[in-house]
Amino acid sequence: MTGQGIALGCLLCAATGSVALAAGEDGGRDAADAGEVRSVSTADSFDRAGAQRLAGKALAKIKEGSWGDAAELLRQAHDKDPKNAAIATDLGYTLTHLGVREEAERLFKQAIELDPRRFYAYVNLAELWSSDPMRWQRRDEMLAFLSKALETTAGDAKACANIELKLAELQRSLGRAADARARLQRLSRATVPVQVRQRATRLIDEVDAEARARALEDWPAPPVAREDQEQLAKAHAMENGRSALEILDALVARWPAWYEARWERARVLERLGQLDEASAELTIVVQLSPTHAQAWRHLGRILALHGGRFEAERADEALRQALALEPSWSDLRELRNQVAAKRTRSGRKSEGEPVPEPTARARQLVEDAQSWIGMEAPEMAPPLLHQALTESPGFVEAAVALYSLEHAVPAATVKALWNDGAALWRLAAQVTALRTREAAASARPWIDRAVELGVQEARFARASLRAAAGEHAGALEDLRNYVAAEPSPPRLEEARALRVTLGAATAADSPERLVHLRLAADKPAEALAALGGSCAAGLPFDNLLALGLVYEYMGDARRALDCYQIAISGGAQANAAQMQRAWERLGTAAAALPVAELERVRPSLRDAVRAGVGLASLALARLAEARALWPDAESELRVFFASASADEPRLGEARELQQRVRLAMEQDRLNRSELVRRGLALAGIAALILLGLALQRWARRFSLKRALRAQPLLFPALSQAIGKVRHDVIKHRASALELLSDPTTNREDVVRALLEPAPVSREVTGIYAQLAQEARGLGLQLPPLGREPVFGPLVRDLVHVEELLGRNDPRNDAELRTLDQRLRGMHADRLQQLLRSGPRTRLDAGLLLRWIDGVASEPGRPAWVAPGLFLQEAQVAFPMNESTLRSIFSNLLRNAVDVVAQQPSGSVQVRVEQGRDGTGRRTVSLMVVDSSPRALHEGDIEARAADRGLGIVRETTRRWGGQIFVRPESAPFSKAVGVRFPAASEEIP
Amino acid sequence: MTSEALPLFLVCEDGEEYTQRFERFLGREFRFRRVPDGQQAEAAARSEGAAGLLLDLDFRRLSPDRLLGETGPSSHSPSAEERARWSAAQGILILQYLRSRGIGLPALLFADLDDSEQAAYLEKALAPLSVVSSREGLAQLAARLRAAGASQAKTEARGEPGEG
Repeated sequence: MTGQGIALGCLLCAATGSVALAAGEDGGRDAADAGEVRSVSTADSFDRAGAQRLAGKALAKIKEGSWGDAAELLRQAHDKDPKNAAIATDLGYTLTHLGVREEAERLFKQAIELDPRRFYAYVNLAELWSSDPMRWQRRDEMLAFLSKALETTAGDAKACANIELKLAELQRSLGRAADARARLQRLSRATVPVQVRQRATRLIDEVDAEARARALEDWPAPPVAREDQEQLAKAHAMENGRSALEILDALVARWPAWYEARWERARVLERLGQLDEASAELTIVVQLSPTHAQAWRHLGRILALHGGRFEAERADEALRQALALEPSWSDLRELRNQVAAKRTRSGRKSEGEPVPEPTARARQLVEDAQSWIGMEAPEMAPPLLHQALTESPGFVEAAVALYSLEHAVPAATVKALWNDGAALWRLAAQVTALRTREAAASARPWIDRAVELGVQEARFARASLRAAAGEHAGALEDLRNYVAAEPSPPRLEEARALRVTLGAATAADSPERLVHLRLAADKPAEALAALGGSCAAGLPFDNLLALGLVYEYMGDARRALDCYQIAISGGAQANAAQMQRAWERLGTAAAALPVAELERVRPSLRDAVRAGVGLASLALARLAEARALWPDAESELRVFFASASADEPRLGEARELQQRVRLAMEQDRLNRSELVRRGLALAGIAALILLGLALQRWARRFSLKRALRAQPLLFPALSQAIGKVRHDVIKHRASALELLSDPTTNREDVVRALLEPAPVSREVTGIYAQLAQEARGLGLQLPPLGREPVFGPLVRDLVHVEELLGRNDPRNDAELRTLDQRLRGMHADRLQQLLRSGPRTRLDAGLLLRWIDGVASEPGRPAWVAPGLFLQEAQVAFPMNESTLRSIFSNLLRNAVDVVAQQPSGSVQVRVEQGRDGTGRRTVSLMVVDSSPRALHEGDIEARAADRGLGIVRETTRRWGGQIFVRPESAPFSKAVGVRFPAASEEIP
Repeated sequence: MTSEALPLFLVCEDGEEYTQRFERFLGREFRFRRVPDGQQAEAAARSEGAAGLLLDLDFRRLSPDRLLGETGPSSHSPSAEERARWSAAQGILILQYLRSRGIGLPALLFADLDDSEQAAYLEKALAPLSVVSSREGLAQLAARLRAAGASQAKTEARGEPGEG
């Protein structure tokens, strides 16, 4: 108990007339109160004078610090004058000091009964309650009592102000900061007594500070199993969002308070465009981890860009929090002007199966029972209540009324309510409100069950019960799960307040934390003042960094840079991590600085680049651009892309800069060759016209073989077409011609084989038309069928066969046999030859190294692990064109390098192998072997989108008749991911 | 000769093209019975007293759950990758399976294998087997079937079982 100078109002004023309330106006009132109290003591048999003497002695003991003696004297005084409200109050106060809470509470209530308009007992009682460990269970009773006190003392401004002040303090102690703040706000009006007003103003500041501080504490992470951590890593690596979501849903269900899983889930949802769910998930992430700057950022962006006006406040809050944690995100400042809102859906789970509503008869029975109780004939009520519960076993109000009389709830009622979480919680709450030990014990299993059924209010209640019983770990677990259950749970503030009483670890104070608190309140000026205003040599390293952050928040990158430079130059005392942080902040601030001001910090930026700060490279690239040093700019950008994460907000700016630099370089090159170009222009134009005409004629005369050379991507379609002609036409239909020479053959059967259901020539024509369409899709114009060197003669012969068969003249059989031989001989050979003219890529170490270099130098590649090479043969031919094989290889390599780069000593190897598959077919394989422990299965590849990474590899490989495979590898490697194709014929066209 | 006395050949294919063609042109000399998958082929080979087995190579029209894998019937539903791989070489996989189950019937595999080494490899590994290309006509095929039928007749005359 803090004793705000009001508790001993009567006694001290009666004895000394000065101390109880600091100001004179209140002291005068106290003296009057004492007189009133004396007049209240109406029993003449009481020794009022003796009681006052004892009370005076008690005061002296209190001044000596002898609280025990004081209590004894006040007990004697109370015995002498038991109807003296002032003495009862003072004894209660003294007992409060001695920790005898229950008796103290009884005495305060007794004093109130003796004099309901006397406010001292109320305020002492409120103060006692503010530290009561059971206050969460009793809050409704306490708040109702004091609200009633306000009604009782209405008209007495001082009494009301003092009671309201204590009521606000009680609400604050319950975590109801918003309610407390609103009440305190009313007490800061000029009409309120000055002491109360001053106290209210101080409390408002404290409430605000507490709320901010609580809101910034991360909740302790649950002990997540290693397998689940691996699952999270797997989901993180998956390109297919839907598949990743399945894993993440399960993880979040298993570990609701694991914010990292929720963060990953939020990002996947965002990627899938499920923004409502993403924002709900992000809200929980920041509830669990309020220092998660990226989560605030994503939440703010979603709400600002996709929300309606009702979400404006939340969007602004999220953006402000993000900026407070990372002031360099200047793009968020603009968003703060665009915030809009819509209400997010509540993701509350079902709380079990509701029991049926009570019947009308059951309701009537309960009303009758309550009437009997009201008429002070409670013995009449139980039979009626039993009947009501027989009629409707799940009738909570009936069960509670019965419990109050018989201290038991029928088993049938508990059974009926067992799967209705909300009703069970209602029963538990109302029985607990009876405030007996038995009631609490009876209600506990119901509360546990309600928690099982997902009733979050019950979870909070259980947390407060556990906290009161000293089960801190259990209470913390409940609170954590309560906070994780849904966005903005109603008792979030209370949960934070209760958590403080559990002694959970909180982050240590630091200048940066102080700054964060102030910036989260949008008070940068206060932050500056708290840290001493401006940066100067000699200030502690942490202060300089914190000041820099404030300046960044204020948009003053120049002053922020000054702070960081001062910190770095005098940072001999700082450890490596602190120095790295300073370099990073310097890079961040520099990226926001106007280019004109970058020159002066160039040396520092160079140092920052050496410290691995990518943003410093971006700043240097901007500087190089301003000085038209294009190659330098390009080089700096490459460094930036190599270090930037996918979430780096300045990636877009960097890409635009890269585009400008490339255009400028191209323009330079063009300018240099302009004179030469002009000289050659006329001749070039003429040559181009002639060439164009020639190409047009050439294109019209494309044979399939030439088309294939011009566009190797036609090969899969051509291969399919040839397969159909060989299988469906020559093998299954035209080969019947051979039987014409067999006298036992029915000639009609042969005719039907070639002409029904459609003539074979028409079937080939259809196949060719489909191929021509595929070719058009690739920008090629195939010649008319009759002029194509392979298909043209084939169709002509087939048409001829059909004509001869149509004449039905055996004299033509010899010619038909010749045609049969041509079909199965010459035409089949030509088709075979055409297949062999398909594209080939001879893969050797030189070519592979060039491809590897290409992947290594890709812009934006964050990390690189140089792969080893293993080729079974010096050169292996793959049945496809080089760009297709390179695309497959590059995707395989990127994938492997990306997963291995996360290992401290990962390795990658490229292998080219030849062999035979299980059917004896010669095959060639190209694979990338890695040492990452991250598992990958063929099913994972199957699930990937067709337009990304391994999805591209899968689709391309299949189109070219190959297979993608994953196989385990021995240490130091873990797996190989590769493609296998039928070996290309050695016959190179 | 009654039709029941004609040599029987099992035609293993996912459609009906081969069976119809053989019945139409060779039906006076041989009987053909279509078996659409590996397991029915095994059952028929054990019970029908067939003289030989004629296999198509590609079974893209066969239901995926009836496809045989490299090690025989699959215990799981094949992935898309496995479906593509298995169906493209199903004729070979069926014959491998039959050989592993002790079925030694002479077999003809209708396949245009561009790799002559592969044909030789298969004919050795899955003997008695001949890989027949599409340029081989029905007359040549009939000759092969007659040879197989005669071999089967001799085997039966000696009372040996038709399975290896």
